[in-house]
Amino acid sequence: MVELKYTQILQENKILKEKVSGEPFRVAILSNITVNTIKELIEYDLRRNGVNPIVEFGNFDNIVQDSLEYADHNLVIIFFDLQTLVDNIPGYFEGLSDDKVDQVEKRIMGEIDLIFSNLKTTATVVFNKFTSGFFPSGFIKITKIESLVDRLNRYLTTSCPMNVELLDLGKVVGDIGIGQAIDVRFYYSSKAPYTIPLFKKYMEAIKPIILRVSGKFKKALVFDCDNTLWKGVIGEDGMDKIEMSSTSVAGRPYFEVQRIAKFLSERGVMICICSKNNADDVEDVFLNHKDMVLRNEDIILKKVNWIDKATNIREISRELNIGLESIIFIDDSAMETDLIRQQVPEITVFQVPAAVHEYPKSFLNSLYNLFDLSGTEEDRKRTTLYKEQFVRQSETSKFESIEDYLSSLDIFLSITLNDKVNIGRIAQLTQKTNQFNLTTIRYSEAQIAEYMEDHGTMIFSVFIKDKFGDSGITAICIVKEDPTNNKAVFIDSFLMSCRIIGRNIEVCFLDFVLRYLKDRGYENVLATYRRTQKNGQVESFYEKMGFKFQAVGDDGKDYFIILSEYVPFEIAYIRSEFNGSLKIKST
Amino acid sequence: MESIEKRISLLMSTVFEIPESEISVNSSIDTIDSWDSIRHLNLILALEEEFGIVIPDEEVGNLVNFKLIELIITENVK
Amino acid sequence: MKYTDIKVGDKESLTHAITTDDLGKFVELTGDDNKLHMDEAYASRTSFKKPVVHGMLGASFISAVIGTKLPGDGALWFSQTLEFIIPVRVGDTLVVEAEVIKKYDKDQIIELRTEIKNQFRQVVTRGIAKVKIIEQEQDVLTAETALPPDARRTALVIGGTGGIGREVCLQLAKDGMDVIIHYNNNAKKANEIRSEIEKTGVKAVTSQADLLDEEQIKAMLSAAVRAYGKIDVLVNCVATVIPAIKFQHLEWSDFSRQLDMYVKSAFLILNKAIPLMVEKGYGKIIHIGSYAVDKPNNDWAHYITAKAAVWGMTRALALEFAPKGLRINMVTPSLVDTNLTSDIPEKTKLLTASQTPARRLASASDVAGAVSFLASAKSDFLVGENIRVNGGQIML
Repeated sequence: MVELKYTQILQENKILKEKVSGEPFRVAILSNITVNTIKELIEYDLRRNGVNPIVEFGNFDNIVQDSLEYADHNLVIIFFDLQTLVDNIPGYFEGLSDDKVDQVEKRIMGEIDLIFSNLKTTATVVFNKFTSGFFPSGFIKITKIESLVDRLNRYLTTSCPMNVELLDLGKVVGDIGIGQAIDVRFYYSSKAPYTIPLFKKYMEAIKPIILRVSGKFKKALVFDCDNTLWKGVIGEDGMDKIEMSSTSVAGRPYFEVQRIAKFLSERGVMICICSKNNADDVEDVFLNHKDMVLRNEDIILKKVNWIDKATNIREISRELNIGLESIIFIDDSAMETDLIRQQVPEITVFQVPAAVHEYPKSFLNSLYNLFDLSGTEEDRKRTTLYKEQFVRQSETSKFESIEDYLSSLDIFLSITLNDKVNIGRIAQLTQKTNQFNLTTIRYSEAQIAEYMEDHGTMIFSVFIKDKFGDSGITAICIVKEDPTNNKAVFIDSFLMSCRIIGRNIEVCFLDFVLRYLKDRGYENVLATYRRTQKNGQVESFYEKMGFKFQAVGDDGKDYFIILSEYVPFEIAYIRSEFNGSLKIKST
Repeated sequence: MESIEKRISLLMSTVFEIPESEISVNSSIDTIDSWDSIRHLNLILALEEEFGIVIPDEEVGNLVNFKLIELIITENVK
Repeated sequence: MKYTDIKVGDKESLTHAITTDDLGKFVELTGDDNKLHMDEAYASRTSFKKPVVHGMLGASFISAVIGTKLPGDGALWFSQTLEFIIPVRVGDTLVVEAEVIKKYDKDQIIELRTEIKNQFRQVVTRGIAKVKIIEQEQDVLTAETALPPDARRTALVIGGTGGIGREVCLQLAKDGMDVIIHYNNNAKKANEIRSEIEKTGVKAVTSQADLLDEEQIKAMLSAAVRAYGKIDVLVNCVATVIPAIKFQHLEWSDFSRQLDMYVKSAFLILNKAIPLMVEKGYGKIIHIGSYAVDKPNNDWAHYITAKAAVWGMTRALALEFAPKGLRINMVTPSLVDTNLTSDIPEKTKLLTASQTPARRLASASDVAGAVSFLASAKSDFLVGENIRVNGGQIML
């Protein structure tokens, strides 16, 4: 977003407004300064990620009361600025007695408590940490304001509930410099201290949260090779002349980028290659060049050929079974990056800067926040998992029937109810799964945790293993009791990672869930399919499973099934085992 | 690079969310309904970014119609 | 003249040199071709020796004195005695004098001693005239003024070639007035305006005068009266570029120049014009004021002083002459976009416009509109008023 001018963002936002629809995602911004300029920037970012935003602002300097009113929004962002506060205190702040400062501190802490309390049911809250950026810095001796800020921020850290993210606004300001971030003119005239560069930087800082709430983290990095992973052109310069060594001035930037890429791959990001070269030449470098950081085991997929890159990237997307918007493409050539921007606009494109020494920093600034690096152990192993998958796929052809093939996989499902240990992974799956997802409801960890405590909700998670290895937890089913009828439940969520699609695991899983519910004495199950741009493939899932229609509309379908009438499929070649519930259900 | 007049016209159209055809040299805070104080602030920020200038404090309140905007921007671009 | 204005001892005279032509005209008119008047040969054989001018020819000049000077209009000359004492000859210069010797208040009659003397100061003719003064009755209480509303008015626009002056000329011509376009140096411009007016099918004239020269002013006014008989409306649109001078650099000469330009010239004109209007019992005098008097600018102390003085003069004279049927008022415009203000930066003009409730600058025709009202019968009850034409910048 930084490259776009404010007016361009406004225009793009307007265009996207027509294209993005769906369930509105409601954002509320509460503040004691004027930050209305950020509105279109947030809308733009959310729209780019396929989310339909409604951004509202609370009343000026009314944060505590507004926190009650806007608690039902999906995302609440709070700008609690000290400048306004200090303005309302008579006298110069540094001259205040310790008692008075103490009073101020206690009052603010009281307000923080109220705000947190009012927002405890909100899905996601971003509370910007206090900054003293506005005030003169005490370079040698800390000023009263600065110590107040320190104490308040520590208080925030210790008392901050699970649904609240603290964003270090001071770092954002520091990153671009106070002079660039704060405009005193507009503070005096309109109580609006922050500039457009600051807001743009803020949007970068808040990006992981935006991606999380919209389920839009990137999954794959597709690199070109020549002058992208190393300096030089392998086909012309040869192994001796290309450079990527940490000790060479020319090669260093490439070394650093490769190192970051390797780190990302260890955290579960898929690294791919797309290069116009002879396959042998490139293979030679990966196998034999002494300075290469990335090796074959780090790369999921290579497309080294002379076909156009747009086609190649689409194939990558298909083969990895991930959407085009989850892919980032990096190339040094303006022609190639332009081509992809035009031909495959869903792809995020990054061009290696002409000033190559800026490559690593620029790469980090632009792309780092686009990945979910909060990864679990599983994620680290994901590269291996995907590789395993490809081995599986290449084996498919050996078998005569799909069934035979699937049996040979020795698929094993381990199903757990309310698996508290894996709350993170479960929440993550609800946030990231787009294709095999019947209702596409996103949950935060806090919400999953709450549901697990709640007696009326059951969260089933499936750990999958086969002859090639573990896929980890990759399927979730959330079932809720009908509050009006204790013999009825409805399926709030049923989702599966795209990695494991095509093996009828979903059939086996749903079989299990329905049997479990029947054993527990429930009689009716309601389910629903909510249509999105991505989940067309599960449109008829419930019908196939034997559910009956209750209602059919443009945006989805409602189903029901009477458990006594359900006929289980009983997939023979998939074994499953129930681990029981880690929560003791008290009756 | 387009003329200053054209760039201002485009910018105003974007900030006030009205079609460019509705902006003329006679446009002013009286003729554009959506020109409120928040959009006025956004306008100034956008103008400063677009032209790479800083508008002096005392002029900020004078940017109330197209002709004055053009004049003040031209003065400050030099 | 009015009876009350005539005093015993008032005198008027005229001078005429008798020519052969005069004689010929008199003979032709009256038919009295007595050989004594026409025939040199005949005359030489009489005691007169040379032809004699008819006694009545000389005496008829008494008619001119009584009819145009004393008492002038309103004279009913009902009795005249005559004695022809010395013969008058062609080539004599006659001085014809009338002096009021008695007044009869009851009947409003004056008695005059009428005497004609020649170049040798010999009394050639003597007599007594009796004249009744007839005056028009004025009804003090009605709304009627001496000039009916639909009568055609004559307007003299001082400074008619300026931005405001020009619009005033055009507007008053449109209003159906005979316009006299005054100018000092810019004859070309004055003629252009005249042509513009005449294109609309109405006549207009130009008139030159240096406004600080009394004689030129007098000549301009009499020419106007001669052409139209009266001046009903006088609009003073004199204006010049205002030099901005900081007070510490101001000299008295700067002040006096402004005072001359606006106050002295106004005085000199009014000094001659007001009596003419008073005589007719009606007149509309309009001065153009300055917004800067209400809301001063920097560096204009000299100009603002002069314009404030004009406002004072306007009110003082308005009071004094309202009973005589004159209406003296002022129009005060805010910044008008003309030649005079062409030095003012575009930005200042735009800012002024944007801060004006009416969102524009005054135009010369806005000013002319207000002048038009003050020049018409519609404003006959406005005395010493100041109409501000400023789009709401100041509302009092």
